[in-house]
Amino acid sequence: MRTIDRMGRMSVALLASAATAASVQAAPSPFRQALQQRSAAEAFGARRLPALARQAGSDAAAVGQGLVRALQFQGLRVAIGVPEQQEGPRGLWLEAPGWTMKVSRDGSAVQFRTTPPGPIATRPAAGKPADAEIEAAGRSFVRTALARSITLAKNEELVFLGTRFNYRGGQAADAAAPEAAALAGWAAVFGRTIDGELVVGGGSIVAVLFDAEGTVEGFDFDWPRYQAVGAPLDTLDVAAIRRRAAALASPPRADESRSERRFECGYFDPGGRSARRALALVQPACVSAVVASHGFGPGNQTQAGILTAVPAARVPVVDPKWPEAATLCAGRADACRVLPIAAK
Amino acid sequence: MTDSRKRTTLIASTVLSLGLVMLLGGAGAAEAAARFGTYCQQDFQNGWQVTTPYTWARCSAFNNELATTDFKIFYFNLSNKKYYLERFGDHQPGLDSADDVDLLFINTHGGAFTNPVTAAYAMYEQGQLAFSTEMRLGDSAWWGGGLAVLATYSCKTLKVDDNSLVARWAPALRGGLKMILGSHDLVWDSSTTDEVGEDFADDIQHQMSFKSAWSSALSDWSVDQDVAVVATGANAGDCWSRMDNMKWQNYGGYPFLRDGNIGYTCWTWWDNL
Repeated sequence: MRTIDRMGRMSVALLASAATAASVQAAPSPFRQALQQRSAAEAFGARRLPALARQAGSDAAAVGQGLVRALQFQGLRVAIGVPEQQEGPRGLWLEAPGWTMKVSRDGSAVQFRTTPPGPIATRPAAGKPADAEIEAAGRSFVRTALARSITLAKNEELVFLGTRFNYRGGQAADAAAPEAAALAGWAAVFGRTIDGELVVGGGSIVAVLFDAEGTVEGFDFDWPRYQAVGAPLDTLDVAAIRRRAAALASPPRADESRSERRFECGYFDPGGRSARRALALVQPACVSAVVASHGFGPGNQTQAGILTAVPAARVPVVDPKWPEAATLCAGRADACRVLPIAAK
Repeated sequence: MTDSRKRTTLIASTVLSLGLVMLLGGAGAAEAAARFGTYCQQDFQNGWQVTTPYTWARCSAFNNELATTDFKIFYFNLSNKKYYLERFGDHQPGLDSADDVDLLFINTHGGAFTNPVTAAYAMYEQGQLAFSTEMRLGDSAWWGGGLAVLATYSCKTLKVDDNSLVARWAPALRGGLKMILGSHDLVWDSSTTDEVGEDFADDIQHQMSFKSAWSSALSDWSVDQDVAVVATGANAGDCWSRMDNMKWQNYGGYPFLRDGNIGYTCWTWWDNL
């Protein structure tokens, strides 16, 4: 098996010859760079992967209360008092002066935001902290405040996906140009690998948000437990996945150009924030992000970003909540399989 | 939704909202249910723009969630909506135009043009675009106000890296529009982003600022959403205060700033949420 460790080193030397179909984003983490290169070259590290099922977490109230207790010792800029609770069809809201927390019904996904009083501090955009510093601060917060929620099985790893920055700019009415942009905060983003395969699609994510002084101002996570289900699924090679992706896409018009920004293979999990989106199973897929541009003369174009989650198992499991799989399986009894997964 | 169903919804919602507005003496009373509308387009005449398969789902979910607390005045596709968005059509007797709601959610293709400088939104009709520099939003409702918040799930329209954001949006903002939520680069259409509208509605219902709700709703930290928000103020401090604190429960307490009363335009953006 070819795997990527969390520093982005691949266990086999294929990077030099890898043809990257996806253009590289601005400063992805070393892990993500390696993932994109491996995805372009050979899709997956293994030829057979088990399907996975998201396991229900603790109930939302227990998760929320546990996090509220943990946050009281994190040195936040707002006091974590006793919140009001409101249960709705999409989950539980906890609200108190200066902060809100949203917990999904199954307790696996949480969004926490603070709104400290007073103006938001900034620093010059050139004063960005290093990625390594942001990663370390994010890992520290995950290990402490989120320790009960962000757990890992023996074959899983928390991997650093990169930093995200928040900027501010402005312009006076009588000024000819904007003032220099300032940095208002940043986030450390982590994902999960299972036997070396990244969970793509947003279903295994931890993001820790910091203000411009480095204090935690929020976090998001979607972090279920996974369980292998049934017989392993054979994965396709890159060429076959590309053919499948082409079949799922509409052909471009003559006056339209398309460019692929990203191609990443792993387990596809679109997340558990709502029952409407949650898949029956988490299966191998490659996510292709394509920008379609329509020109209106020099300097003028409209754009749209289209992201496709291409089923990458040779014979995937039917899942009506996964649109690409539903399209692939429609009307073709032999193209897909149903649960329980038997060897095929 | 069919046009006839939309029209039925429009009429029913309008009756309800008019009654409420009359009781309150105008939209914007804090904590009162407010009025919103939605313009979305998934597929385009003769396929002139690429289809975005999850647009209807995104917009319907936004409508369904926000309608649990507020008044949905209309939900239309973008056929014949250029006139309704731009300055000569931004208030209509049928109360189905941009200035006839407090919050307008739009989902279509977008662009940041440089020749001439403007932001462009794709309409349904082949080759037709609505331009920000032809808009004046916030001042043409029958009660004297107009659109307060414009939220657009569209690429590029709040582009920040060419120093032309104010040039693109000043004409629209001069009408008093308080805030624009959008993107400075790319937002993505996929099954993983079809809940953006629903999440945004849920977040603003729960006292989050527009700015925080927009960034939180669009992000899933996986698909690389480029999120931006624009506000205006009498000066820089006022602008940032409005940016950071304005929410669905208090936007009516922030006055419409028009023309010479706008002393500063401020914006914030995130890359790859």
